[in-house]
Amino acid sequence: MSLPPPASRRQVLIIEDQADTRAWLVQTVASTFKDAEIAEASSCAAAFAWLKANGSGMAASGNALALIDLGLPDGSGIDIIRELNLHYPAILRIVTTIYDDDRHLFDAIGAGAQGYLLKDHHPDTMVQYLHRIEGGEPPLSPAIAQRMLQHFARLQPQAPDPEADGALTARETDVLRLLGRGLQVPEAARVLGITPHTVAGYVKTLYRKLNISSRAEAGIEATRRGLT
Amino acid sequence: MALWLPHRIMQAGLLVCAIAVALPLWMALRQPWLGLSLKPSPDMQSVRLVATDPSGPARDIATPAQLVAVGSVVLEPDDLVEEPDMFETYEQIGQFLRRQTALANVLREPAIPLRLRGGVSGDAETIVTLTPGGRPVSDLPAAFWVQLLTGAGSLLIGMFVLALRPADIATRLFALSGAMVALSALTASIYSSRELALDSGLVRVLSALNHTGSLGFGMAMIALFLVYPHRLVPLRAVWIVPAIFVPWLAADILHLPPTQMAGSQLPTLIEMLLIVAAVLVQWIVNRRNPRARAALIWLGLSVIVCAGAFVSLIIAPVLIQSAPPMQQGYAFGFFLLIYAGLSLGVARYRLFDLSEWAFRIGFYTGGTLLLFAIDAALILLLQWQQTTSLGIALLLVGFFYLPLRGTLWNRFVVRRSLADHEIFRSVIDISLANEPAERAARWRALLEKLFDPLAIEDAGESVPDVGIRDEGAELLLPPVAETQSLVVRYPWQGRRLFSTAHQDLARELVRLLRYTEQSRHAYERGSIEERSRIARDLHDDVGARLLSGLYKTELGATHTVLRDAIADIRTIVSGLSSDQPLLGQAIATLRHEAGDRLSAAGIELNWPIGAADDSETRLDYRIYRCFVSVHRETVSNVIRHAAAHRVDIRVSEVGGLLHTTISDDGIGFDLEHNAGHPNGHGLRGLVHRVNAVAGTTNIHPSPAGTTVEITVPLVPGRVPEASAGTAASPPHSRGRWSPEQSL
Repeated sequence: MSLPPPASRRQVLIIEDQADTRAWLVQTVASTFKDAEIAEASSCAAAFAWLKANGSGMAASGNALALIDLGLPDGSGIDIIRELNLHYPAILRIVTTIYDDDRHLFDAIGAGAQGYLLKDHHPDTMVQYLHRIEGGEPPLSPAIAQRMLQHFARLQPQAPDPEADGALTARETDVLRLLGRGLQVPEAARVLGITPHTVAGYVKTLYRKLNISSRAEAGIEATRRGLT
Repeated sequence: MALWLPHRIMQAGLLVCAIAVALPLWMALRQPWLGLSLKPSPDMQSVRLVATDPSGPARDIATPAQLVAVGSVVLEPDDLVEEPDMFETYEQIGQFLRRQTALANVLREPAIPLRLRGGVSGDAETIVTLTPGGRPVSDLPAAFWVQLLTGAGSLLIGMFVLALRPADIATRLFALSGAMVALSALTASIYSSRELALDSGLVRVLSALNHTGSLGFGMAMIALFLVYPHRLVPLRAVWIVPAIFVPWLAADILHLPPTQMAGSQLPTLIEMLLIVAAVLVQWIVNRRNPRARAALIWLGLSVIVCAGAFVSLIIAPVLIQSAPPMQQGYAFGFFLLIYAGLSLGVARYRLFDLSEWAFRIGFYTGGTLLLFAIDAALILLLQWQQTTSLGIALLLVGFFYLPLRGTLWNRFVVRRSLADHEIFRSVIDISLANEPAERAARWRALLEKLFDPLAIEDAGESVPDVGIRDEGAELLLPPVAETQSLVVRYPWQGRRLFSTAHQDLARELVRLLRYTEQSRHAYERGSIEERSRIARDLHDDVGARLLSGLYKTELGATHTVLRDAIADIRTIVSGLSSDQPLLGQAIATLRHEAGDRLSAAGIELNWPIGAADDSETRLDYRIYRCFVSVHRETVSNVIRHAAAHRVDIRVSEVGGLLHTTISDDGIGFDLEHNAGHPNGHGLRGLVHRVNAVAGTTNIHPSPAGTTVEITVPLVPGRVPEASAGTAASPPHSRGRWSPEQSL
């Protein structure tokens, strides 16, 4: 499906089971990134197989992203995200979903997703968001923000060193709180007296910290159950 | 009636049985004993001493020898006869009895001279004087034990059947027949096992009782087959049977008839023939009733074969003046077969309509008996084994018997009950079972566990409340858990009665069950309502939207419709999956969504965080739906038609009402001509939606911008008192528009 690409060309893997949606995504991505080399997979199995063959090359390109549908016929996209996060962290992991319900997305972010797109967005909006994610400004819906707040509030007591344990700084908490109220990034920035770019940076950090603490939690859980 | 509890009857039966067994045993053992085994000589002229008991008083006498006389009484072979009935005439019996008395008097002496001939001394007569001792149990002949067993067994089995159906004439007659066999066998066991002689008075009484038992058995059996399985004659007519045989019996006891044959054997034979006749008539009458026939075959045949064998082997030979081919004591065993066979008949053919619980009670009685028997045996064993084996016996008892005994005791004797939490859990299990049949089964299982009754049956009537009947033998339960009214009979396997405490427990159970059932029904109703609401939402909102998309000719417009439909579905789903969304969360989501959409359209949103953002008020699903779609629709209108640069939104929660104000700085529109406006449908739907939850809508379009004010109650359909004063506009302009109203 794909040739070993020249290092500079953008590599995109689109994992989506609905053929029409996949075609639409391919088209949207192609129009967003004119030079992109696009690979498609329609199931977890196909995605894993493709990654086994081409994952390293793709990651090495330093310019790769994957669009991952969560509801796949043979499993959850979350597993693919986890695999990518673990073995090909250089590939940008973006969830494309029809559910914006916070539970699915929260789990996906915990597994290492770095942004999400709703498949019913207008193509223009889609392109806009895709660019933003690429530029390190992932979206964060109020519901997910609130969930994150609860999640980290639960962790806080046993985490004296925020950086080490993936707990939040006061500023990060402020950002989460405002986004959780439904404010847009620029508004939040205005309220906090910082630049929107800085707020976006915080959001990116929040994604990363949720991933770290989810992994830590999974580790604790595994130890508790005697799995490790 | 409460006296007729199965276990009470069985306990009484066991007690009677224990006395009935102990009495002959005691009487047999208290007779003076020499340890002699005597037999008539082959020529029936003399009495031979064939053996002596090695530990008895006569152990030093050489055998075989002829026992000529005891004291001054010269022995005759007839003295050894097992059963005085064998004599043809009453004169012979009289003579036998007189000799018995003479011999018994000699045996009561402290020193008894025996005149012997033969043995070591050849033909010469020798006199040996013996001191009688107490008879050891081991010396009692096997026939004695057969009779004892027959007596005890038939008595118990008769009581067993009676215990199960105490009010039934058939079981009463059957139990009576068992008692009569016991009377006959147990009395015979005493005199037939005598070593040599008993006092004639005692023999006379025992013999009379023996005859009473034999004839009584016959009478009971004739009466039984007159009424069972089919009632051949009216109950009163059954009294004819004793009317014939009781005088006959009396005459026999008083030795009035010319011969014993006419007084004793003849009526026995006639009874036997009458039994056969009654069984035959029953057989014919029940030809169309296979179940009755099956029962009849079992009972009738066993009575005819077993009693018939006894009559033909013991009674008939006397009638034709020949010697019976077997000892009467052993022949009694035939009767035990009748009663043992009966229990099998109960199992297979439900004799006397006894149901399967008949066996449980038999089983429990048997288990208890076994327990006492083993206990008794062990006590004896430990007494006997006073040497080193005592240790081994104790070890065995400690390691095997005591645990086993504990198990048996728990199984048969201990009453089981349930702890409160188990009861509670059972009630929940009943209520939460999916299938009605499963609920009914679990309810019965709980009753079974709680009360361990012999039977749980349909009451066959409608029971309004929990109640106790039959002085505690039965507990009545009203319909509950998909089950008709029930009657629970004979708690704890018939060992106890229901008390008011049990009644209270049952009442509490029924109350709990009803309560949980109601909750389940409410829950089911709720989920049905929920389902129909989802259906309505899907049909009315999503369906209508998709339908309008179908008619759009422009692709972009179709896409917009589809996106709106997806947004609708999202709202429906999130409204369902989070049980009741918080107002604060709903506001955050709407602010975010409005910000996204407006900024994409280049319109500025001013929606500052206010007090309502912190509201923890839970939004009813309908209010939530209304709130979200009204917002969405209004923002859509602004984006599409208002040509605005800025939108101000405020949401507040005051006194049970949710106020929303959305104003823009756009170009406004003409309300009067709105019906024809492409916006019309959206506005109309908005107003309709607000009206549906008893809310109000105020729309103030102006060239300088439009303000939409929406007020909805937080509880759907209920407008709080304060609402009149909170409306921002004068009453006449408050547009409580109905969808029919032209805009």
